[in-house]
Amino acid sequence: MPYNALIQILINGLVLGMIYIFVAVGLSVIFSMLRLITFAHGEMFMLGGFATWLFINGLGLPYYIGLALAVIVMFLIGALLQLTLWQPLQKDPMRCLIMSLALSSVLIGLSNIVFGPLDKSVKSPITGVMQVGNVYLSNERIAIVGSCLIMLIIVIIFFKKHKLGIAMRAVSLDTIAASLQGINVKRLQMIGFGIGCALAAFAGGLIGTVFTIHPTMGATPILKAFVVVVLGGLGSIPGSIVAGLIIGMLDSIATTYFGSIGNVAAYIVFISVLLFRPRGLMGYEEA
Amino acid sequence: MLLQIKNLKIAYEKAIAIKDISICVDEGEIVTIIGCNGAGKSTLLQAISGLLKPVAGQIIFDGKDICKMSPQQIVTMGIAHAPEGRRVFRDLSVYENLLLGAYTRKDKKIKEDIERIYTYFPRLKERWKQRAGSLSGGEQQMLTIARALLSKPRLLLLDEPSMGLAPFLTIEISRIINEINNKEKLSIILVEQNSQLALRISKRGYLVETGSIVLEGTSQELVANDYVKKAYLGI
Repeated sequence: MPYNALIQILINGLVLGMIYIFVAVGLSVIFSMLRLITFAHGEMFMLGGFATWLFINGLGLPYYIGLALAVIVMFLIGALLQLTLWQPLQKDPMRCLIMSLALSSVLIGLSNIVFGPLDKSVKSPITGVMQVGNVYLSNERIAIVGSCLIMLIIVIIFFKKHKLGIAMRAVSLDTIAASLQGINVKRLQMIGFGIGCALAAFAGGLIGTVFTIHPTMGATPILKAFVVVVLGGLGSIPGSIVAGLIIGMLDSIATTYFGSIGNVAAYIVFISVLLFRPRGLMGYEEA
Repeated sequence: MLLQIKNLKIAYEKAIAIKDISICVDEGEIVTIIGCNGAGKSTLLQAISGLLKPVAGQIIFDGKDICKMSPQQIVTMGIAHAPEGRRVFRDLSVYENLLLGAYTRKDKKIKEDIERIYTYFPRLKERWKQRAGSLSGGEQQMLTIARALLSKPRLLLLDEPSMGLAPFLTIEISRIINEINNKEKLSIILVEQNSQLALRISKRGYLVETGSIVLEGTSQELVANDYVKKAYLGI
């Protein structure tokens, strides 16, 4: 039994970790391209959940098609929000911050009105358990981890190999040098914001089958994602991945053994790491 | 005439950086702009590449006024700018930096072109995988020039290519600038504080002081000028 339980805890940790990774990578992309910290990111996660729920439970679309549509819709919404709300304020980081707080409240309020405060859940396309030796694994959770891994690989290849992805990294390093290469910096920043929102929405949509979807579901992941981003090193995608897994595992292990007080574990590790390594696990030193 | 600037005036907030500058550049020639720090040389280049919008005057490139164009449109028109302080993308590899130099190009010959540009800068070929930020100052300068060349420009703007480099490297860089000018058939505007170096490789030059042109002529004329000798060449 202890062995079996441990595996369960690890799988749960992986699921949590993946969710944190996607919210955190989205934040990271937005921060590095726009030097913008957005508190409305948890609401992008929440809207992703509701969009997935709408497409699947409302319109009856197959699961993965509904999820993909939700991600695309949230990409467009994110890009549009950046264009209309943040781009006019871009010269003033403080106003951008306040705008994100305002948007966060507005979106939570609107979802309460439109969707109602009750928990919703998305019907999972995958059910049952898988037996490996004498350990039982939930197929659904394995599918979530698998989908996340595939998506992560796509994201990494995009930023490493695709011309647009490389250009986006250039924008995050030096906007003036980027525009001298003929890169349309404003447009890429808009696309970057959209990608950030789409990644959060992907996590929100996936989680709808194991947890519930409700208007305030973004509050915890956004907090954890900030921890992950800073722990991994601001703007570093590999850093966010490693830190996301660490925090997810910690959450899973600590809450299993200590109940909800176990949530503190992640913050304790976070603070201890920053004491000795202020730039995070994989952050570059400012040159 | 490839580039003609007429009565250009540029102001930051309320401070005037360029009062009234008119210059021209012919097809295939190296023109240098010399002057002290803060004279307005870099400001002039930033205006040509569209980073700054002039208050008055015209910048005519290839018969079109480019004052109102965005930096993107200007790169596509055929002007590349290797900015002051090098500004390579530090966390990108050398190769990725070069790819971005060709960002506006739609043709399929970019890879061949990178190989061709490597012949001027063999050191970059050796280090193509390395993080650009890990290169030495001289190599970063070469990368900045190589990156600018990859947009296939007809006019190359070089801002202080010798800044912070050891003397033997400035000689190397100036040799490469000459070679590029000969082989690529492109025009170059070279902005330098190192007047000696600049006048040696250019055909003509302008001397800028506090936002205006105070002297112009062929490089031989400028080198022979008493004022230039005393104030800028230290002879």
